[in-house]
Amino acid sequence: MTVPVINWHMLMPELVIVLTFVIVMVFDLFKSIRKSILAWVTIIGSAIALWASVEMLHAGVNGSQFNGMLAVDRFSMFFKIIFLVSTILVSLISINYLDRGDKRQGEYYVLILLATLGMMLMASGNELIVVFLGLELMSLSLYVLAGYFRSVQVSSEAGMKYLLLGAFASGFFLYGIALIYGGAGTTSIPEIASVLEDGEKSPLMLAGMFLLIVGFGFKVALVPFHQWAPDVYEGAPTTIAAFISAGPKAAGFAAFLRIFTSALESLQPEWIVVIVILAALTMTVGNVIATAQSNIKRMLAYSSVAHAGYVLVALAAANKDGISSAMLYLLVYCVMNIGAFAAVILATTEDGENLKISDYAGLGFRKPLLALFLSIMLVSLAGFPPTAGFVGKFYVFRSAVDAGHIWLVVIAAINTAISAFYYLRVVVVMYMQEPDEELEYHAYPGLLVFTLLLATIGVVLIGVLPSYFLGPAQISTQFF
Amino acid sequence: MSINLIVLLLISPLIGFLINGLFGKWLRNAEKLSGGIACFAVLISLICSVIVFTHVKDGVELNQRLYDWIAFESFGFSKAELGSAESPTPIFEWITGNFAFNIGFHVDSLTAVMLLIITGIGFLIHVYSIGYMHGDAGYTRYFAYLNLFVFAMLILVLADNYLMMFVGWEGVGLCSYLLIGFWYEKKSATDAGKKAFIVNRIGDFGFLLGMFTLFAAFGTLDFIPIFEQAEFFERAESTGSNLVFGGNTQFGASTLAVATLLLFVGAVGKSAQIPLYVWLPDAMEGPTPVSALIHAATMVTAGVYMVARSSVLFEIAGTGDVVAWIGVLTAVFAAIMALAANDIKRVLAYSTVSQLGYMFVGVGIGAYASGIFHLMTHAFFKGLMFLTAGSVMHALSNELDMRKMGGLRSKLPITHVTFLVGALAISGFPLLSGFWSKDEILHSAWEKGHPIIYVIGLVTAFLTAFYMFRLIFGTFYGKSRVDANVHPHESPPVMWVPLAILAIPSALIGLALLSWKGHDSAFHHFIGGAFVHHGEKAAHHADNVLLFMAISSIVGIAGIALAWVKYRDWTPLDQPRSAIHKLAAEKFYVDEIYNAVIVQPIKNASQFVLWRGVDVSIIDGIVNGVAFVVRTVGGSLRRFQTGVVQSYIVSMVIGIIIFLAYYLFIR
Repeated sequence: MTVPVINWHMLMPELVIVLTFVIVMVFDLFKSIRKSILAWVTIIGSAIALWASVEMLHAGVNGSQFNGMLAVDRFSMFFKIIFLVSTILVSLISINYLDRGDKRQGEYYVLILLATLGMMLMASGNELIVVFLGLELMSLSLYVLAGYFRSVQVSSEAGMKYLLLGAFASGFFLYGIALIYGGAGTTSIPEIASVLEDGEKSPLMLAGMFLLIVGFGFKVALVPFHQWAPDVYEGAPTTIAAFISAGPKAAGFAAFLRIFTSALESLQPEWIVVIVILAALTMTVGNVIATAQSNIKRMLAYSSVAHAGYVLVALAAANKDGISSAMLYLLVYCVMNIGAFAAVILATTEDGENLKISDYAGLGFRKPLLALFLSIMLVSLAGFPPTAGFVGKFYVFRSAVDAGHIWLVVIAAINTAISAFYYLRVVVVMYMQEPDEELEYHAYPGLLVFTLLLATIGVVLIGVLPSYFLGPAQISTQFF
Repeated sequence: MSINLIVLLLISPLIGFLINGLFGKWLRNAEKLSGGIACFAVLISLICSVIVFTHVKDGVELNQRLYDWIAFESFGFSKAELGSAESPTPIFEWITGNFAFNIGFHVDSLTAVMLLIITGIGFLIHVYSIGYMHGDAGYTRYFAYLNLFVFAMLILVLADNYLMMFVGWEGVGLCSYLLIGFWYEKKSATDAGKKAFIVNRIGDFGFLLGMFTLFAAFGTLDFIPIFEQAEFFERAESTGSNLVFGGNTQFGASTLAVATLLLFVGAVGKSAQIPLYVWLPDAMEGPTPVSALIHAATMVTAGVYMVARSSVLFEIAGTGDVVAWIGVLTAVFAAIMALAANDIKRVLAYSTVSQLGYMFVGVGIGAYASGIFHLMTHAFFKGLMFLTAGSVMHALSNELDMRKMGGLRSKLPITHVTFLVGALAISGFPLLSGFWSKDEILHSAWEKGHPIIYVIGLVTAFLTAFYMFRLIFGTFYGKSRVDANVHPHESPPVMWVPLAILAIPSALIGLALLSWKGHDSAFHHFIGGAFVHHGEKAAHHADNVLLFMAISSIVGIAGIALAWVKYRDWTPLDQPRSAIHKLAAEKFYVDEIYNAVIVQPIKNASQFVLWRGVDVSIIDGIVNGVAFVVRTVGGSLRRFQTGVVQSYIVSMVIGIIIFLAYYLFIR
């Protein structure tokens, strides 16, 4: 094997993130540097990488690096934009959140950057091994982040559970890769596709494909592989819950989409049944259990499970429209979900976070700005026009109807109605119920309000001008 | 003409609205600033409109998309580049064909005239309002609404498709509601606002159905494709070939008739024609400049504009006669009610309804230029008269009843003169603007073979002159009947200067219609381009033109003379003398009839059947039942979430086994 010629320009977003990672690590060594500087370095580095990704998407890159192991195409660029937007938003909300107590901030941002790098590898991976590497890089960072508040029992419990279950699922994933290698004789995605096109459909391939579904199913929290999600979301620091619910989920779907609509395209008749069943199960179970939650973080956890189900509906469409609508949906979902978590962080009192839904009573009058932000995010999550949530759902459902999955869309629509119940319940509590006791709220931290403002602008902008965002997704459905 | 100009024209009042609307709290103590911002916003639009007008004069038209709801040209990607990428079908494909909502502008001479009217009169009324609303608690709110109204009205006339037009249509309806009920602590004002809104809903429903019909037939809502398809259809039909719109065999000529009539229902609501005119007289509860701008000059003419814009469809469908008949009947009916009204703003309101009827006659019989010209002259002189009425109210501490006026000529000289100009114009006094436009419509009616409409129109013209001068003599002449403790005074310059400016076009703009033998008049020449369908010829009635002018003049002057005889020294009666008079004074009991026949039955049905019966027991029962089931199921599913890792792994494994079993055994 010859040493590949590397075009470093093509790897610009990854390189920027790696460089930022090194800088944050070095800065962390100096005690004299204020810790919030680390956050700003992270944000600036991510912003530069974001800018590079947008430029590359705009320029229409389409190539590969490292002997075809990394695909540098528009598809991956679109997802990198999603990840970097999530990373920036999460870093913004972390500054105030971490200032409330914890002093060890260096590792926090280092781990976030590492997880982001892992996600980018997952989106670009054109080789099952690379995808696995990315997945592990991301997951290991997240295990640590979930248990980041070592002294808090629920936090370490969350980290531990996440690690145990995640390792279990990674085993399935790796086993699936091994079986596919056994069947196809290669782990390169385009090569697997060409082997399958030649009519080779060994049982090994089927079993491998199924185990990949299990592995991804765990990472993006599909029912019945979802049970880690509520516990981890509840126990992890709220910023990390927001992070786990956004970028990593999108990364899981990025690899999911690439592998299943490219490498395993010929097996579509085999996997589509499972996907449809999983989609229906995930939406229904996620939404129904969410109605019974009294803790807002758990409610958002189940809601995020249900949203993975909606994305799966787009995957079930299994065509260009399905892929582009899934991409748009994930972008929308990341922005609005991080926004919702940011609002939860904003709604804290002197004695910690305020997580029971009943605590939100009367917030509409005592904290009108906060209640407004949270309402916008919830309305968008419920999918009402003119917010981004509506647009995302509309295109997803539309693509599934076109592909003939009418019943799946009917189930999805019923689920949307169920979800409106628990999202709007919070709005009702905020605006129409009197509080039982007077809670002392923190003053608004400026950065959180700024982040929420960004998220709100994003949600409304995508909702009002969807084609500016759908257009890029539509031209990015071609894999290298 | 660049699209940026149009965007600036449109956006400027929106910005004014946002500033006054969002920062009103801080502007409250800076009345001058707030009013100034609003006026400045409209002034920018006015300047842009003038530029647009001069460009359109050169024959430049613009039909351009600003934003496609489903545009592929985003992030700077070009269409060609996208052609290489695989996206053959638009993703926003609705179930019945391709649906796309675009924001686009269609600017031609008709639009340009409307733009000038809206921004020109709008600007003067904004300035006037600075004085009129001085010291009102809701000052900034007022200007915010007024700017928003201008914005919505501009959307309405700039739209290049019916859907966007409908957005503006609803927007002006909303602003009208907000401004009629502006003094919301007054019950009569809020009632009037609600009445206007609800009556307009009926019309809007028709408009919506009309849009649906058009969409079903043509598969689009954009003006130009619809008009082109309709013309194509007409040509095909005339040659006997069996062609249908949009390849859809269910649609034929009758579809177009249905669609245009439904659209006209919308126009009837918005432009206050029989049977939906009832809201307009009540709408006078709003501040007087609002009545001038919205309920005389601009919004109520939206229906006329819409019919003129859709002229191709109305011509092909042959539904113009319906429009003309509704118009002329409304004209005479409203004029009769104006005879018996004593509230000066109500007289003007009925007069507006009546004049709108004339406009519909114009566009209905196919004399589009004349109809639009009357729209323009009416906007000037009726706007002027409302503002002078406002000036009278201002002088008399909000007195509106002309039985308590009289002899104001010496106290309010400027108001008197300007009002007189407006009244002469509307009465068709020779050489003033209303004379030309009204004569033109009536003449066209005769020429196009509608003698009955001509006669009714002539009677209405007589009545118009009569009630208008009844108003003049009752208010400004004779002995003073003003309360002793009210001291009339002329309005400040910020109010009377706009009056004086408006008086000039009210008197003189008719000259734009002057035509020499064989030559189109300036106005016809200008606006003719917008109505190319049947190639309307303006100079078609060169013969007998003097005879018709003479008849019109005599009728108008006769009305003025009769009013002089009866009212120059008026002693008002407490009770109407004759049964007819009483009937007219009680507005023919139309409101009472509507209330008894429509409103009460609906109220009862909704309260006892729909609310208590259907809603509470059936719908609420289902909703609560479903919610209960979902919560119960959710609550029990929740128990599986034990928090124990081992049980989570067990459930994962069970899931895996079930799916594997499916692959191994069931398939």
